[in-house]
Amino acid sequence: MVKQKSMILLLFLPVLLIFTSFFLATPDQILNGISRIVVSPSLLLTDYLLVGGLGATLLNAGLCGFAAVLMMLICRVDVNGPFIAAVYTVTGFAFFGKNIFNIWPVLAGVYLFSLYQKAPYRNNLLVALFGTTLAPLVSYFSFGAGLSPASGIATGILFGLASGFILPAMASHMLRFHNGYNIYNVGFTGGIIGSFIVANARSFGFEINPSYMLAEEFDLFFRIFLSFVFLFLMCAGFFFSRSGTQGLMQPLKRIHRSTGRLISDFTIVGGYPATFFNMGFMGMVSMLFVFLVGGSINGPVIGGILTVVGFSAFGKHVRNCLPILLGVVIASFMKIWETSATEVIIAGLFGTTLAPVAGQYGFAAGIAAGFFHLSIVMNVGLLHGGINLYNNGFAGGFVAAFLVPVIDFIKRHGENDEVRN
Amino acid sequence: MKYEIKKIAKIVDEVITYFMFNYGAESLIEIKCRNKVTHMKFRFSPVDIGEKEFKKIEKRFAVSRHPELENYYWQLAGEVEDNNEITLVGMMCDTCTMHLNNNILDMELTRKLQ
Repeated sequence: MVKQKSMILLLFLPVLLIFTSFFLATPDQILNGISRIVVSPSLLLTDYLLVGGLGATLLNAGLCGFAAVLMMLICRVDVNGPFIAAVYTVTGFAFFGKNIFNIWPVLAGVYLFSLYQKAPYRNNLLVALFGTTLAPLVSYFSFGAGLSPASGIATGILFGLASGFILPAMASHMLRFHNGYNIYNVGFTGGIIGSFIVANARSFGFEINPSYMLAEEFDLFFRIFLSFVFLFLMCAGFFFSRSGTQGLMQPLKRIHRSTGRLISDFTIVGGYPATFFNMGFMGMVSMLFVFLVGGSINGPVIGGILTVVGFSAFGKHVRNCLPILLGVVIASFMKIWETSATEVIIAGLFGTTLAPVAGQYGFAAGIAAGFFHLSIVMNVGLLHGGINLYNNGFAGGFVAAFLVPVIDFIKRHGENDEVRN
Repeated sequence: MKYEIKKIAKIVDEVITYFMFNYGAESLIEIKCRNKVTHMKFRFSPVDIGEKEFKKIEKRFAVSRHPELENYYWQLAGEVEDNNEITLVGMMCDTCTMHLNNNILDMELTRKLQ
């Protein structure tokens, strides 16, 4: 029963997005918008709200999220923290980079890997869903590389399949680079694969560079729409809980005590009601962050907010995210970037990939992680040319790998080397 | 299943690290593979914990097998000293039984080859 309810709650956002799209645009507008989205090279940051309009973008996001849930149902995997995070991440990034065309080759590539490994697809489904971070690879070669339509699409699909095929083995291996302190591990893996492919593609004369297309006119609509979604999640968590507030407090305390380091599945730590409540609450916190720094809500920011919400079932809570957000804001005051700029806002939101650093080593360590993260994320995008959508996951891997051993060493200074007795 | 031996080694690593780090316990370990099932038996002593904490630990180990997560995250088991992955160990095992008697903790994990 709980699993059925949680599946319905997981379907809520994709279904709401699909229905809303038909209220806000005519079928013609939607069709034209979707066509423009599909043929867009989709390199980071391409705001689909600007490319395809509101209705088409909502439909694209809803369909991508729905596809992710459908694959979970087909593969018969349970609704748990990692898969909730995956569905929200796919949905969120379908506002700026993932679309109903470019996600499939990567998903199929992971399927081929599963066949090669002689393992069920469900064993690699999580990596497959997160692996759509490399979806722009398909779109770029299909529509942005200057190849003829047929050879472009064939090349794009081939690159998607190839990257999907190597992703599961690499993703598992890359965990050890940061020891689970960077929650968006597939983002780090995607960054490595993307950098490798882009460096080679550039050697053959392809020009792959990040783009910068942002819509600014939908700010108010999304403030209302997202607030409704997050309040709904909080209420659902509240009513889900058998004894209301009282029944939520203890599980929420357990969630807040978690460091957030991989793998912190909050559906196990605190149960489903507290998890959905935490997701809604973190959504509101993210919206408040955008409001306080004076930013506006566009495609990438929505992606950032929804990713925070999804990962609030899998590692993120207010205690371990707040220091990161603060670190990014402090960095923006001292460095060359405007605090209200979209790049800084998404660096803050996605920078919470480093939440486990704050969870494990404390508030100051979290601020340091956020502070360094802003600089790293502003620089690593050039390596993969915007092919890897989880650029903050890529940057977060480096920050965690750099900071964690240093902090750990300082923390343990003076500790007795003897085994405790 | 690929890397089967390494996964078993990781499970053992995580369990030993957890009980040594948190309770300073000494340990006896026995690992047997019979009919595609690996039995991992541990004895830790002294393990100075109350009933409530014991139940908590038991619950975290008994999360049932999750091949869809194990396949991806198994390399994290046993990697960090002061932060544990005992839930991950639970996700990598088919059964987990634990008994606490006079500060001696007996534990058996089984893992079927898939």
